[in-house]
Amino acid sequence: MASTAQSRIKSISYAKYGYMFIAPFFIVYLFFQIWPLINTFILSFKGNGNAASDFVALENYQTLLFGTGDRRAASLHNTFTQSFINTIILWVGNFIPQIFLSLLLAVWFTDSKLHIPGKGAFKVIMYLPNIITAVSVAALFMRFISNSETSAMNVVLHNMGKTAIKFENSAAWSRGIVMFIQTWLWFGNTMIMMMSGILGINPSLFEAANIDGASSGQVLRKITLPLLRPMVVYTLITSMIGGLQMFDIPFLYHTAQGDIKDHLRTVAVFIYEQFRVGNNVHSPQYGIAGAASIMLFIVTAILGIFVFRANRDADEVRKKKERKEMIKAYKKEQKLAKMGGIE
Amino acid sequence: MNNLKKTLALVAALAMTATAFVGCGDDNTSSSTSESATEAATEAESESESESESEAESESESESESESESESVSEAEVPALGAPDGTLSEGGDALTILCWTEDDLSYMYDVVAEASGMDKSKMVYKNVGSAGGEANEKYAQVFASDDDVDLYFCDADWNKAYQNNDEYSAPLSAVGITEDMYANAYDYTVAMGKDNNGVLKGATWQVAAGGYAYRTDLAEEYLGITTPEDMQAAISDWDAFWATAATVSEKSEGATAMADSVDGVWRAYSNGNRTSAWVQDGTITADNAKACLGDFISMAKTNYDAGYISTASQWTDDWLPQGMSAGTQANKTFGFFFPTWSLGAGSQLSQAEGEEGAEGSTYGLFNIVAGPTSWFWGGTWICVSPKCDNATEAGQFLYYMTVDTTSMQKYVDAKGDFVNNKVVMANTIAAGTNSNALLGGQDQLAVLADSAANIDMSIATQYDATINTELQNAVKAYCEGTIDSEDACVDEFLNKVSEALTDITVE
Amino acid sequence: MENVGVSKNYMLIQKIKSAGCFIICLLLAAVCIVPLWIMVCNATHDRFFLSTNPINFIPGGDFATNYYNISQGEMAQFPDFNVWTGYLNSLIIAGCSTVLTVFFSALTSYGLTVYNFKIRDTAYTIILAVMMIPVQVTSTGFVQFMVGTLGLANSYIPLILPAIAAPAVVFYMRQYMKSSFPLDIVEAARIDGCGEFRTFVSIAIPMCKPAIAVQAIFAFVQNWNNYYTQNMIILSNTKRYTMPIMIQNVLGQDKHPDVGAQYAAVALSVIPIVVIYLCLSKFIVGGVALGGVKE
Repeated sequence: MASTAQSRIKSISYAKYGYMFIAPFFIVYLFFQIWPLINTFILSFKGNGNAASDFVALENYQTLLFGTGDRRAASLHNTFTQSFINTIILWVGNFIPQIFLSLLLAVWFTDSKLHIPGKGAFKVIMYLPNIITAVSVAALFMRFISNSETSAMNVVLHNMGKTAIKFENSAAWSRGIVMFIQTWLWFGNTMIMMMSGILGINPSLFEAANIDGASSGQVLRKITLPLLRPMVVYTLITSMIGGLQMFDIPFLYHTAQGDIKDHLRTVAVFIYEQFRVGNNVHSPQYGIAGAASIMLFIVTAILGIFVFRANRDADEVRKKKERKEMIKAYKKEQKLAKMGGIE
Repeated sequence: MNNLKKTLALVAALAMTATAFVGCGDDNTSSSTSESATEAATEAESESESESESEAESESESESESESESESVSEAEVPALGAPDGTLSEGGDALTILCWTEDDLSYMYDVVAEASGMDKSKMVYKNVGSAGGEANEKYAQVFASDDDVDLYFCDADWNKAYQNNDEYSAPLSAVGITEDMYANAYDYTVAMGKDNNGVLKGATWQVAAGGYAYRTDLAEEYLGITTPEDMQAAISDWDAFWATAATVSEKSEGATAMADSVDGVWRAYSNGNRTSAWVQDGTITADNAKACLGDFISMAKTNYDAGYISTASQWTDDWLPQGMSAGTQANKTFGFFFPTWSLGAGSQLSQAEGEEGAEGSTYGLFNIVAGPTSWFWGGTWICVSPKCDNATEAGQFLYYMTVDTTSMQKYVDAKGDFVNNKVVMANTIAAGTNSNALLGGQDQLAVLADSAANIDMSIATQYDATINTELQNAVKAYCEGTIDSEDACVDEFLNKVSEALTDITVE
Repeated sequence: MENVGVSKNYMLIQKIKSAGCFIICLLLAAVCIVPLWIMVCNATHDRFFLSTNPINFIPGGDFATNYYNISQGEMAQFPDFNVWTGYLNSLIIAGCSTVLTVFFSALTSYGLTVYNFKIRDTAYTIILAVMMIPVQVTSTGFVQFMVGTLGLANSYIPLILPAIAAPAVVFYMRQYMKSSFPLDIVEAARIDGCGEFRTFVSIAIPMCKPAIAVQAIFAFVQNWNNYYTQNMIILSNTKRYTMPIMIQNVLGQDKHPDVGAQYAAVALSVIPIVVIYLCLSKFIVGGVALGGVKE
């Protein structure tokens, strides 16, 4: 009784520090993120270009979602839909190889039975691409393989007596290249996250499994993967958010000025293209950009909640089951005891 | 283990830095290049001197031409620079000029300082450092901030957008410049400097007549042509141009295309053959689009497929090296569609030729002719910012760069640029003093004088930058096979334009 | 006897397995490092050589020419083009942002872990939800507000100050503190008469050093490489250009294409950070494993 009172006094007297400590975060957040978000929301109900101050209600949303009306609406709708499809293709195409590679490597690097020389050096090298500026990476790969006939790949083709290939023009090539670059950039990072997840698992579990003579496959399936789930979920969420805002590489991967290919335009690139000034001082389309942003936000939020929920549900279901079983066992005991008592 | 890793890392790091700086010992590179440049200049001079005899013929021709012209171009009386009308403030720190490239500016400062007695240190420029097409976006940001801007440069593709916006541009009368000062100027430059209400808001020092610069060695090899006159006869219109292209392609076994890029052909076609403005009454109608495009798309596609137009895009790494005779892009094109501002030292032509003496260099092996159509490309207008706080100096700069005959003559003599003053140009051409080493001593000003006189920009709109970019992208996509049909190509083009431009309707 | 045979067999299998894994790792490492090595080598050859030999594994001697071309020669689009200014600007932005990020994230997560107050869980949920908002979503409003309303074009403020609110770092730090920061220490400090803020600075921060180091490195890299926001805010003042914008400028240079200079520019942007990374790799790779996300 006394201790509860004590703790209550404590929590009352120190609570103000809690508020003080988290205040800067929320003030800055309000100013630089929440207000811009609200501002984006407001802008999405306003006009574009010269008519930026007019209130147009849901017109921008209507344009992007249904594209009914004139050529402009239909065209924006098509471009926007395509950009969503592109984003999903590019994200899935880089997430799958990325998570596969990083899981594989993380398991190898943490497996005490495997003796891989230079583990540390490998980790350092594999993480290396992640620290390089995306602009430099894009520029580097542009010089290696692109539409340009002076790009390394085309010069090699030329030296072999073959005609140059316009790599950017082909959806398969260019998407493949962007996926490769994304994987190249991120697999080292994911691998290290996975490793830290595996190292966070209680080592006694692995020891027990070893003593019981479990094979590596069994250990992987029965211990590592299930216990790694929070880590995988975390990676999935961060990668998904990262994927939905994929911008740098798809935006920079084109040779001719302003020639962003339709099969590489992600939602983020679309949004950027709309609110930039471009060739005409009157052309920033804050309305369309805002509406597209809000829709991207809604999609991200839904996906995020879905993943979180799925993860928590599984945990809760298991806990519920355990609790039920415990209650059952307890009741049984009670029953037995009762019966025993009667007998 | 840890030590090993550390050492490995350090060794790798050292190796990377070391290799990066391997070449650093070679300190005289810069001085040696400048030396070779001066050598080249003197050589070119002596060459042109020794060749003067052989050139006598063509010179006398051009003289007779220019004589007849100079008769028609009698020097009109130009009023002296007036006083600012007081709407703009005075006494700012320095005359600040906003630009995206300062290639020409440093010499302009010399000329203006000498003519006006202004202190050169009082003239500064703010270079946003970008390609011309992107400068607009950066300008918008400069204007949105409180940065000091007195004058700014505008590209022909988008200057109307600024002139039609009073927030961004003040009338030239505010700095004492009036329309009657441009009596000796090319008419289109004045028309282009006016906003939709007819107020003069911009002036230019240059005239961007376009021509076709071709390789003389290839012309002789494939066509047996040795003089610019014969070359012009062989490509006097588009039909003749493509017919010659077929010969070139055949003789070179498909290695050499006639046109440097789809974009180049479009520039020439758009500013030479198009007779209708893209946007009329705020609309691009389907009929008007058709009228503007003419037979361009089918012409581009047919000739691209036949190998008469090179696969390169303008302003990419593939474009200019096509003019050289070695490397992956060797001899890929017979010639380039170039305007006057591409022909000076350090410009596109000198890049296309490569440094003199370098492997595959075609230095001095180009000649220029008017080409299949009389066309122009771009040009830069100088506008006055409403926030200008050096009205007198701004007026002086404009006057001595775009009006005053003496100082403009000085600029031509130094830079070989085609200036916006008929008297100066007639005198220069008549004197025959301009000799371009990049063109083997040819005088590009004489060749392009007729084209310059014919430039008509009445059909320009403020949306042309966007329209040109989107059209070039769509047509290239069609040529390269990512778009199937001509209709789809037009459709794609109109779609993209409608997306990009909010204040016009695209049908 | 039999037992030894089995174990020998087992050892052999493990050895073969290890060798297989090693080879695959070697291949992956090569994929990571070879493009960068080619970049370094190509940066030391001039454009004429590169036009016929686009892939080089041996460095040449033309780095000075390429460097001259990007800094003073024809590739330089404006006279004050100086890669070192780009470094300095990037360093200022990334450095300040990093300090702000780790300090305030530690502060926020300390507040969320140590104190018990009414809206604590709500606040934490909000931070988690906030993690979901992509930059691109707010960028429209952000740019319009910063550049349009506040007139902060070319200012570093919109690039540095927002670093105070880094939800992902808070999330990570809170996880770390929950698992490895004993609350008893706070109690003990209180009994000793230590102020709350001092407890945080002199006890909590040193104890969370590993997590702070890792997050500092991540934050630095992220801010160093941030092209998206920088490109929206710094457009017109060339003196304020950061490294990524500088590089983009050299590459977007359309008048004087020079492949050698382009490689050199990219290499200049990459090498310093690679060197720093290799020196700090112990912290980065080793440190990440310390925190992790433990549930």
